[in-house]
Amino acid sequence: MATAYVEDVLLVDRCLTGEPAATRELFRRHRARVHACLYRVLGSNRDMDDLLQEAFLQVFQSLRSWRAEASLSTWIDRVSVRVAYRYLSQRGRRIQTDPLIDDDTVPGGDLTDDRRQLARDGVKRLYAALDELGAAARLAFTLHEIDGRSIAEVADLVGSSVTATKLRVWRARNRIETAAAADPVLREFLQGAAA
Amino acid sequence: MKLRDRIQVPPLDDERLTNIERRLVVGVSELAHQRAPVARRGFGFAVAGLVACAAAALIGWKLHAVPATRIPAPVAQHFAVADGSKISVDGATLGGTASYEVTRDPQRVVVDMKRGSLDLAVVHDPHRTLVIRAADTEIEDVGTRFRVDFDGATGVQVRVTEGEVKVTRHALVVRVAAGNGWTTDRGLLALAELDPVVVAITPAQPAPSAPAPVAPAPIAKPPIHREHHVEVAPVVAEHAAIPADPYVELRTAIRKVPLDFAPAIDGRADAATEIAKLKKVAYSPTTLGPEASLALYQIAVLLYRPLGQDAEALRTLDMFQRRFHGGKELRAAMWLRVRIECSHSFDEACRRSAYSYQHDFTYGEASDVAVRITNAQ
Repeated sequence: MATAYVEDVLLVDRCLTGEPAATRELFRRHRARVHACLYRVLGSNRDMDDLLQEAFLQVFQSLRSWRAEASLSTWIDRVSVRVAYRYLSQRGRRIQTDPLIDDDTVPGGDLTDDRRQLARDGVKRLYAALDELGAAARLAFTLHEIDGRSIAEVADLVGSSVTATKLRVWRARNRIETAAAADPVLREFLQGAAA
Repeated sequence: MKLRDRIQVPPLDDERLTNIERRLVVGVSELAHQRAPVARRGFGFAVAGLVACAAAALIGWKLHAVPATRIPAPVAQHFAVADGSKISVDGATLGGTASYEVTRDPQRVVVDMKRGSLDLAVVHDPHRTLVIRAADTEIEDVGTRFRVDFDGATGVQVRVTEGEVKVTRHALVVRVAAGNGWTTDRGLLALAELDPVVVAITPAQPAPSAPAPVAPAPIAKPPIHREHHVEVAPVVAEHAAIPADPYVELRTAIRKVPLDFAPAIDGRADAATEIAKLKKVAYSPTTLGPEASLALYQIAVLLYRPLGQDAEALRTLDMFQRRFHGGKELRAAMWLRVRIECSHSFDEACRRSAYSYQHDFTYGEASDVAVRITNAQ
């Protein structure tokens, strides 16, 4: 861990000197995690490339403010979450959830075609239900339930208290469950998740 | 819900990643170029500064040619009061039962206490401060009414009823605001926590039953800066005249709520050493999680008390809340913020911190006090 920390500090120093190779290296090291985080929060999204680029531009823009108190990964996650939040908060914006045509998005290669189709539809409807939530609630729910972070970690990322984050997750879960009560596909998908 | 494993992230293809990377490198280099005008502006400021310096030098040289009128430096004046008289010195009124010496020089007025109690009402003059010296403690006024009790050896007690004073002892500076006190042994405290005022009042002279013997002619006193001489009034009565702090009860309630996870140290000298040790733990890249969280919180506690470095303690708490928002010390840290913010006055910052506390932690003694602070007028 200490080695990774020192490597991060050295890499950031190189980035701050404007070395293009360092910019590429930092991007390559962290792109998968940032992309995963944005994907889980926003779902399959036409603006994903732009968002990824925006997140990294923000990272490079404010790299001087990284004080090496938190790990670089955590700090970059925080920036990514802010980018996602801004995207979600933009007035009148509805997330354009692409149809999930890629089989890779649904795990379990041994599923039958019916089950696979059901899972695809379930994911699609889950994100449609998430579109109805507020930005903060969606962020808290997706980071906790889908990205698998602890409540404390989510609270730290979104800059909120643990109590408030818990409340947001709880409210979002209620909304999703209400949506699932009226939608058998989503209900079956969630029941599969709970099993 | 276990959604984590149900939704997999499809990998971005290489072409898209290469495009993003290329755009990013270009974007970052543009960012670097955008910073350049700032540098040019800095250069402009530097040139303007040089011109201003040259002009100032020229004016100074011209003025130097004119012979300046020499103002003689005021001589330090010194006088002693041993009978507890009430005197006025440069806007400060000193009363009580103390014996002390006053030394006045152009920058400050120093009252050197021998022992006893001194009540002061001071109009603050930033160019000439009033300093009370009792043994190794110095108390400097910041526009205020306060009282100093000194046992003649080492024990000093300060009570502030209006404004603020700065107490310095062993190079440690503590600001004591209205409604608070300070003692050599216990440091910063609420007024209500201090012992009741115990002052030896000069026993009243018995009424003469027989004609008093003819007193010898009084020795003429030197014309010192004593403006009037009054009988020493009982100190309790003197204190009753000073308006009471309306928040004393609330301040006491705040101080009654203990600070959780506070480090145990012996005496003031150890606080700095302890902070140095804790910093090693808190800022070490190899220390993560609960240990670092506790260390950072304890640094804030020590900075607040006994060191009295409130601003630094608040900065440390900011850092704590950024790094360890889910730490188990969060509740204690937020309460510590309330205590610090509300230690001087019940202003906007104090109420804001109290509101945040009661919002996040609904139950408990501290929460009740936070509600009272939020509602205080």
